[in-house]
Amino acid sequence: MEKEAVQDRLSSLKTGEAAAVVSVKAAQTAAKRLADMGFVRGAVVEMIRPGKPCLVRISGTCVGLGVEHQRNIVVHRP
Amino acid sequence: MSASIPVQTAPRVRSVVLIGNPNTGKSTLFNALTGYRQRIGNYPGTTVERRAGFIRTEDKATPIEVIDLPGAYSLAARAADEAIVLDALLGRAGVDRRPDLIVSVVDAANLGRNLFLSTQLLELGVPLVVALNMMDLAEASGVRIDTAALAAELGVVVVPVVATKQIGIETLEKAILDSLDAPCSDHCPSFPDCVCAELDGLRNSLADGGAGEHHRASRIEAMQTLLDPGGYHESRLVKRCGRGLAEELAERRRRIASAGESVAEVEARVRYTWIDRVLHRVVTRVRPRPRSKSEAADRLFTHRVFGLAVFLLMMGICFQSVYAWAAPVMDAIDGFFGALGGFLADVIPAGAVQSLVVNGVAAGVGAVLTFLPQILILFLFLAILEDCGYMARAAFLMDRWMGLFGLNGKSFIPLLSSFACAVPGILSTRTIEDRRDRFVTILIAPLMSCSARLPVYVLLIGAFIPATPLLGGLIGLQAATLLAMYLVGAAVAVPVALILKRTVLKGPSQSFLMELPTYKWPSPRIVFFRMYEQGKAFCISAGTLIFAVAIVIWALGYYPHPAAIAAVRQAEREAAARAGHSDKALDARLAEINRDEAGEYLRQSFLGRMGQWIEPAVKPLGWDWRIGTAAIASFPAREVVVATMGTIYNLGGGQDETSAGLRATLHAATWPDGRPVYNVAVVLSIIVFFALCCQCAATLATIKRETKSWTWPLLTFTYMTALAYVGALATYQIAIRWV
Repeated sequence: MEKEAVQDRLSSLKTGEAAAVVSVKAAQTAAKRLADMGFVRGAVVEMIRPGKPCLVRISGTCVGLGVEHQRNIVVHRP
Repeated sequence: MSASIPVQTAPRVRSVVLIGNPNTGKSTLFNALTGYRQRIGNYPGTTVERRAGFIRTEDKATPIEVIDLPGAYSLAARAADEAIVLDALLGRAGVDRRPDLIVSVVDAANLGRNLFLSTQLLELGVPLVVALNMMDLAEASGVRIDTAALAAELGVVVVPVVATKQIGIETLEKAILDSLDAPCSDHCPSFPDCVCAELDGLRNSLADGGAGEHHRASRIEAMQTLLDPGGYHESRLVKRCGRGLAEELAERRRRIASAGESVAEVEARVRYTWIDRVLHRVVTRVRPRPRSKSEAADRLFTHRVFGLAVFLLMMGICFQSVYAWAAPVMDAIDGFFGALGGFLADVIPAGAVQSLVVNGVAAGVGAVLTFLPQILILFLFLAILEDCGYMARAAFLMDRWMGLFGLNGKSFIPLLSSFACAVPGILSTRTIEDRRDRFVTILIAPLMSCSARLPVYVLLIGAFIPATPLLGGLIGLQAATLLAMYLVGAAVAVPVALILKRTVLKGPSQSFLMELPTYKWPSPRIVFFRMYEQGKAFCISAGTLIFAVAIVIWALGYYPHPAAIAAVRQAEREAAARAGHSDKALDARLAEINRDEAGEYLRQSFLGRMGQWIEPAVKPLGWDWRIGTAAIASFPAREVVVATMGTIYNLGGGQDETSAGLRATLHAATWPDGRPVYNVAVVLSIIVFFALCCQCAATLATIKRETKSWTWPLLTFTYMTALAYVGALATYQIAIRWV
């Protein structure tokens, strides 16, 4: 249960909050796309604007993410 | 290749490709290298644009051709234009021979993500040069990049450049020349053993199994096949080698997974880990990251309320200025062609030739060219929005609204471009990875009101809709009507997309994923270039297609030109002269006879007979046969309708000597019983028809090429024509009762 408490979906991040990517639980097509854009284990994501879609910073770039992607990316708050 | 000097062969052309992520300033760099001396063509069998040009080298002995490849994030291909990238790099599928050198264009301000593609390129076995673009932006963001250290890490030459300011271009040219025959770098990340074993196994089995490839599948190609399930490279190879390969790939992937690796993630993770280590040694932060202006701008532009308001305001300004700025230039062009027609009528003796030149060519082509200013203004706005990076924000903002269409925000950019022209709009759907989403976008793109509809709108709205100010003078009734026409297409597209998504193109909707590039000032050269290209295309179509249609319409409207009519009218003229009218009355009577004569010629012409035959079908829309004929004749291109109307009404003698243009002519048009043809209801019915119809051969041809099937263009034409007819019918029947 404790582990669950720190691992969360990307969609739960608030403005300015940063977290590390734990895993991407998407179908392989989407997972490959996300991985190539920088969503890999250990990468740091910062939430710029939460919402549907949300705006995050990953490997120095602003990326817009739809609802489903936000739900599929599991992150770990420091 | 000159036959006279057999010993000396022509200098061998060396080929260099530019490749990089989208928004890295690749095209600007390409322009800087080639100085706009470019040849623009297509890759074989596709509509993906192929830009090529020559570097201006001092050394004439080695001509160097530079090819600008489409932007890509990764060599793993999903979208249609990404597939071209690896084909071109591997020199296969009839695309090109293998390049002699790759220039990897990297955005220095965004080094981490950009190096991902560079590390893939390192493994291709082709000499590589890294052009580190936008160094100024990187410095402004407070980082220092040690280019020498980066070069050492990558094992290739790294040249810092600022393409927009032409800085570093000469050094890059020299680096390209020097590296052409340099050995390839062997620096690249190493992959886990389980992945390497499967890659080697796959390469061996492809070589043994006779994949039909001329070269052994390179490691990088094997990697993109193995680690990208369902991607372009897998389907391509499976098509060649059969189902056996698909099973083999599945088995190899299973083995990687059972070794504890994620097939979809492993390549990206290994590369990003390697890149992070490189960045750690190469990049130093000299100042804390300043609050970037780009982010501050995004706080407003991506806000779901204010951002939307800003977007709508921008669109409003755009349409208002299309209307307001273009008017004086339009009138000037209109006046010019009127005067030209009058002059030619004086110079050329009366008869078929005079009629052809004055009524066919000057009236037809002139009517269309009048709209060049609007089209240029519209493209100016779109080119600025695209070049400064705002388009991606619009896509982001619209993602939730695009959900209404069953699509995601990525489809918004093609649809917005389709407001200028559906052809580039349809071409830009190539960035949409999901085939069904892409096809739905293609099918609804022609519903967006393109600039070719503008002539029809502007002509009819300007002539018949009163210029009443609305909202306290903020917007005129004319501009509001114009805006409404733009909204009609977009509004109708929603149910159409939903129906397509639930029937012929059924499938789940894909979640939005898109980079929002850093804002930059639009480059005047790029904006100008885009306007120039579109303006040129428009003028060429006016000079060829529309010219030809104008002549055909003129001929159908002029012949058979029976002599009997002239004889009857001549008798009337003589009778009038004998009747002893005053001079003024006689002039009026003669003018009336002339008009009747011209009208009768037109009614008796082939065009007139055809038109009267279809009149029952268009009468419920409030149209007379002339409008119906003009609409049918405009099948090749919508804007032709204006030319056709110009020709038809000119032939029909609607215009007097001192031509006040087509608008006045339309006002004067009457039914046989003397009622005016045009009123607000008829005008609305015509513009709604043109808002919804697909009278554009170029669009249909593009859909055919992009979908590689006749089904989709035929479906598009059928559904849009049906919509247009029903829409026009409903508009007229409602408006005639209300207005």
